[in-house]
Amino acid sequence: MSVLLNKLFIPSSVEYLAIDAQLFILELSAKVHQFTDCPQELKLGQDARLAFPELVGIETILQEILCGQRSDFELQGIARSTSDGRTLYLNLTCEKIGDNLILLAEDVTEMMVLRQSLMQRANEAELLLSALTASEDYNKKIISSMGDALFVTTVSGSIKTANQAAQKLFHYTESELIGTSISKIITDRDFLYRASQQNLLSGDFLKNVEVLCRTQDSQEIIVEFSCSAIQTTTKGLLAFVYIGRDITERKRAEAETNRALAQQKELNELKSRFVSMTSHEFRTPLTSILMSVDLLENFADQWSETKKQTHLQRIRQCSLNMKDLLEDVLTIGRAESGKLDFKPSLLDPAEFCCNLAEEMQLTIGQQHTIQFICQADLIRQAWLDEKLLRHIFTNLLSNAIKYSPQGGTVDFTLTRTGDHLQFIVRDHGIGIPPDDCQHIFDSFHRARNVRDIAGTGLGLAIVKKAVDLHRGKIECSSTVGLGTSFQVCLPLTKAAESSGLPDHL
Amino acid sequence: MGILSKKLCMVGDFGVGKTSLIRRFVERQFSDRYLSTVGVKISRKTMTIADSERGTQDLKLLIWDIEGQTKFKAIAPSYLQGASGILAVADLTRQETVEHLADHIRNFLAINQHGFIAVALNKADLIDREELAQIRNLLEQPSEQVIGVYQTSAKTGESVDTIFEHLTKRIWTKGN
Repeated sequence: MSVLLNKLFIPSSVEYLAIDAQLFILELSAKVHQFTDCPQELKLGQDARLAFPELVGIETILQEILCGQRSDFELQGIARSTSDGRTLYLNLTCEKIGDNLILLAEDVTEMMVLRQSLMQRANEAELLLSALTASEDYNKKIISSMGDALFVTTVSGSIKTANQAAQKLFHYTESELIGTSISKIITDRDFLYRASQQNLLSGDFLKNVEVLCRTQDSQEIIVEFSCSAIQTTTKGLLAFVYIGRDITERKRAEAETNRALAQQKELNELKSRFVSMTSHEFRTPLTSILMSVDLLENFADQWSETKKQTHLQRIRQCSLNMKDLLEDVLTIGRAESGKLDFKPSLLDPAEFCCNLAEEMQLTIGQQHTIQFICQADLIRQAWLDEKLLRHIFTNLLSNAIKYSPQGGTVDFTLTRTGDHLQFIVRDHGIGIPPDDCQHIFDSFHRARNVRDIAGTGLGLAIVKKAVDLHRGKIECSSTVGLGTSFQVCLPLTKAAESSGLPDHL
Repeated sequence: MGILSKKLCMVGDFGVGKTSLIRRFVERQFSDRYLSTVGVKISRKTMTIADSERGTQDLKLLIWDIEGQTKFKAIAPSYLQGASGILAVADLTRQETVEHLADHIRNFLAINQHGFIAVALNKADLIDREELAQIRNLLEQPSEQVIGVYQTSAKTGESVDTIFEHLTKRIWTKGN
């Protein structure tokens, strides 16, 4: 065996082990012990697999080599832990020699250590890249799927990142947004200034600030933005992150609620005014009636006929006043519940006005004069609701008289402008203060300067409803102390029918 | 040899935790530090296997920790020669390593068609259970030589002993 081995050229870096077909050790080189981690098992006549576990499982291959079916078998880079804690690497080759096998062990530690160092760096880099890619992918998915709009800008406000929600909310594509100034989106300069003043040290950030923004199609929306400064990869250079939520709908709902609350408040006030007005307006005539009735009961037999008639007349007048008041309340009630009908018929507007002016003149005495002036070529027939027309002008004329306590002339003019009739009732009375002008058509509203002039605050509300039913317009101009003018415009056509609207409001 | 010795190989992509699984199983230790394996290192572990029909048997496992596969270097087939089974390991946090499992299994069966395979989905402590269920769907229909798919964690020790024990027992009871 040794003779045969001696014939082989074995480099000094290679150690060897000769084994037989049963894998028992026949011969071994001097330093082959260094290549096993069980040197105690490395003895002549011992099973080589105990010292070289690499042979376990490849017994068939070794038999093939012995039979000449295979030339050799090689295992590269086998690591061994040495007793001093180092790692030694070897290449193990098995070949046939004579009727036996030889295991050649070559020390490749130097090359493998170098390779390990290279592999370590390459694999670490690959793992890092993989982790970064996964992290970037994860962050991108979060940003793109979040429901809130997100912008990242430079210090100067140039947009660097805009997520899908931002693109959708402001109706831009990503390419349209990148590089654009954030001020194109957020129009609130004050907010942008405050955002730009943030710094990393304070740790504070703008939170849930409602700002006005503009979409690409110039639509204005209210967005609740939070903004914070972040450090970029360049030390000392900041970027700004804006996260916004569209609260236009919420604001709209809030406004709706406020409006409903205001309406409720107004209704409550209305109710109070109604109670206050009715209690006052009914109590005064009722008191007069009761007083007259008492007097008549107790003193009628002592009174002259004239005096009795005066009290009876007072009772009648007070009852009529209460009836009128009830009529007004019922009328406004019907109008507000949509039950006041608009029933136009063909009538002569000038004749109607003239008759009404005369009727009213008879009831107001000599102190006031109603002067009706009518355009000469006025149309003789118009589609008007006589009942509503009476509501309108009885109220306007009686107000003109009532609020002109010093007496005088009330001008009542009727003209035609295009396809409209224009009625003007002008007095020279106390006038209406500017603050009250916008509320004069509200039910139960009375101007502050009416003092003790009796009234319900319903007349002008009824007038407005009646004008509206005609699809007309009413305007008021007034100067305190100089007088008031009401201008009513009513269409000549059958407004309600031609507009396709129902007959009542 | 008085005691039965069996060769097991750890195969899988680099960095999936093959060395850590062996270290947990053999030395009961774990380190977060990544040290890439080059070549192959053999660890020994003697196990006592019990079976109701065959009784008990001491079995010496020779566990080959084989250099992981990279883009540039495939696993040397010579390392797999004579292995009774493999642990095919993947990293649950790197989807591509799970996708590569089928190749590793195919390569092993090309050399040892009767060998057994246990699949270790490692680093299970790093992902959610919901995510895990989704990843398991990525696995191809397992070959009948695959004894099971285990979610393992060398860090917590989850299923580490179990996977080695199941594979060893299968090798002993039905193996070559």
